[in-house]
Amino acid sequence: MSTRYDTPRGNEPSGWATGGVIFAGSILTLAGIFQVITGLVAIINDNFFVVSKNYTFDLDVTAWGWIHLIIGIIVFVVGLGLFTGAGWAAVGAIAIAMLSAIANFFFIPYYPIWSLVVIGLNVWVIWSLTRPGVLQD
Amino acid sequence: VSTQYEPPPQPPTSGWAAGGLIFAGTAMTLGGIFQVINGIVAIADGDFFAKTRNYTFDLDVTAWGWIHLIIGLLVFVVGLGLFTQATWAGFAAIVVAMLSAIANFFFIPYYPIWSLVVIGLDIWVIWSLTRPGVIRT
Repeated sequence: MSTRYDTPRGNEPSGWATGGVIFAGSILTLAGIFQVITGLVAIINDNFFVVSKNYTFDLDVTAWGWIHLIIGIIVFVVGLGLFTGAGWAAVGAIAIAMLSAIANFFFIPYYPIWSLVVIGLNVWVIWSLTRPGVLQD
Repeated sequence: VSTQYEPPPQPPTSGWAAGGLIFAGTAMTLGGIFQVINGIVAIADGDFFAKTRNYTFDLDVTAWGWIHLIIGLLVFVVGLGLFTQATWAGFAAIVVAMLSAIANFFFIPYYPIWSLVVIGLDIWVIWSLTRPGVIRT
């Protein structure tokens, strides 16, 4: 009787957990590349982007480009770091995914679709890293 | 006979619950920041937004900005509160996420994409909090 309601075993690393980390690592490296592409375009061809009028956070497009380039590279590196299975990489990945999502939210007025794709991937990464057993602390 | 219909005992701590709370907390703090950004832009640069004609809920854009700012801060704080794993925080999070989604639905005519991102995050938060065992009663 009592065995019927066994608590789920949550402490040993499960296949799901490993899978979640591999997924998150793959998607983060992909999102990092996306953001680097956005950054390069913003640095090289400002005029590609919509100039938004009266936007409060209207930095120079080139400035946003550098922000995207740097964050994109960090996202890419942390994404690779996830494959090592290190605990710091997972926590760092959630933090950098939030940072990247915020930068892209700011950038939506310039080029919404690229930003939406990266935000979506970032939240998906956070979701997969917060599945049970993925984050070992 | 009466014992036959006793509900099964809940496992003391489930990994699913912890994972759902961490995701909801992270996504809420992120969504709160998004909404605060939206509010700041609406307060500082009303001209940034589309002029809607004959919109029934056409408050001043500045007024919507304050609404977004306040709700955004609330979402952010409740999102942090989820990390305490308190029961009240779980219920408050669902209520605040609904409130935030409603405010953003009203705001879609002014700037659809920002609102859609926040609504999507709100729904995802509600979904993850209503998985079995996440909110402990």
